[in-house]
Amino acid sequence: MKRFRFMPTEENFFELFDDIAQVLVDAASFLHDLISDYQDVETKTRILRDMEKRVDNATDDICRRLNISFVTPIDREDIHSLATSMDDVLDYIEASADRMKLYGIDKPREEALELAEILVEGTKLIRTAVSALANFRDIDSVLNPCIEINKLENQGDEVLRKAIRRLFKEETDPLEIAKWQEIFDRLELATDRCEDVADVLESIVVKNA
Amino acid sequence: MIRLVPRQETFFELFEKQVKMVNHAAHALADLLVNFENVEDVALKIKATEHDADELVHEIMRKVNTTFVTPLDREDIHALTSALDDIIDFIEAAADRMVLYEIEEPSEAVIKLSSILAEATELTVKAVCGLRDMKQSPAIREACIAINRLENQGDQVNRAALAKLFQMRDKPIEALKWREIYDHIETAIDKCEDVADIIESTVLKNA
Repeated sequence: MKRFRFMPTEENFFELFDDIAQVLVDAASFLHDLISDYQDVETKTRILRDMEKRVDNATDDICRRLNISFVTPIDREDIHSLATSMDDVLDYIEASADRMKLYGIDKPREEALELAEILVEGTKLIRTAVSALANFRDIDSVLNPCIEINKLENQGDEVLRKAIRRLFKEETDPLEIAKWQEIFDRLELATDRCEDVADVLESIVVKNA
Repeated sequence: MIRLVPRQETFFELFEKQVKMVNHAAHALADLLVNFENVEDVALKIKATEHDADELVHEIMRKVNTTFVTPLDREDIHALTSALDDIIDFIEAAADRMVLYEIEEPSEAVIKLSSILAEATELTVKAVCGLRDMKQSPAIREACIAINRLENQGDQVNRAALAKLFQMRDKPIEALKWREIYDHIETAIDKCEDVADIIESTVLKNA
């Protein structure tokens, strides 16, 4: 006879989020390394793609468990938005590295490294906020890193503007300009997506406060 | 009677404020491209409006998270304020690129696109203001249909402009600049359509 469970176990979503946050930090650091030490690009981009797949799977896992879990620690739709928004950050990190490889970039431009630094900072802040969410007693331990992420996104905008200005001033080959326009765009979108994660986290803690 | 607690603005009032800022920015961009004077100053003003609109998004988000009974579904409120915010972000980016790329003269296509955008935000104001009284749903629907039509028009103008751009073989760098500017304005128009879609589904849900 099939046994019914009256109280389904609460899945440990927070642990899953911690894992994803750690992969985000690893991926951003890896992108930073790739740009600062631009060698073995093929291998390095492949590793990043693997990380991206891992997070894709983890996100699917969360969504699947969401469908079978009876009790969730925070609203279902919040768990879903948090998982997908974190996934988006990694997608853009991976896409930036992939474009550099795809377009046969010889030497990354300076501002790419600056944007990667911002991404390392941003993903670390996401990790801090996500782990504070698991045992959140005071709302500020989640909100403060979110405020910092917002500031970083503005910084990202400024670096992008500087990058574009210099690109059009100094570069004379239109194809190089077109390639870098796209790479910078991807990097900046990754910082935007960090802000989206912060927005989701903010709304979760405010709602559950 | 004296109010001890200041009356809070309703969601509808906040949305109306937000969409009017969006409309204001769209008109500022369209006017800028027709007159093309003090480009930097106008771009800065648009940036300031975008910043004010950001504050409103935060206010709406705070309110949705602390209000027990909301007049529309929470996720609809969230989607609507985010989509409105996207419109103004792209307007700001387009204006900013005019400065950054040191554009000397606006193209015919950019003037056309920005006027389509201004018209679309005008209709977006109508649609958003209609939410207050959903019995006006025919008027809301009309505005949403018109926004859809403008979005198609925007697509066509953008495509024709791109085709022309990439025929100018002698000025590829200019083409890359304009492609990005067109792209921002066209995306802003797309986001008006997103707002229209959200509003239509909200009206259906609450009918």
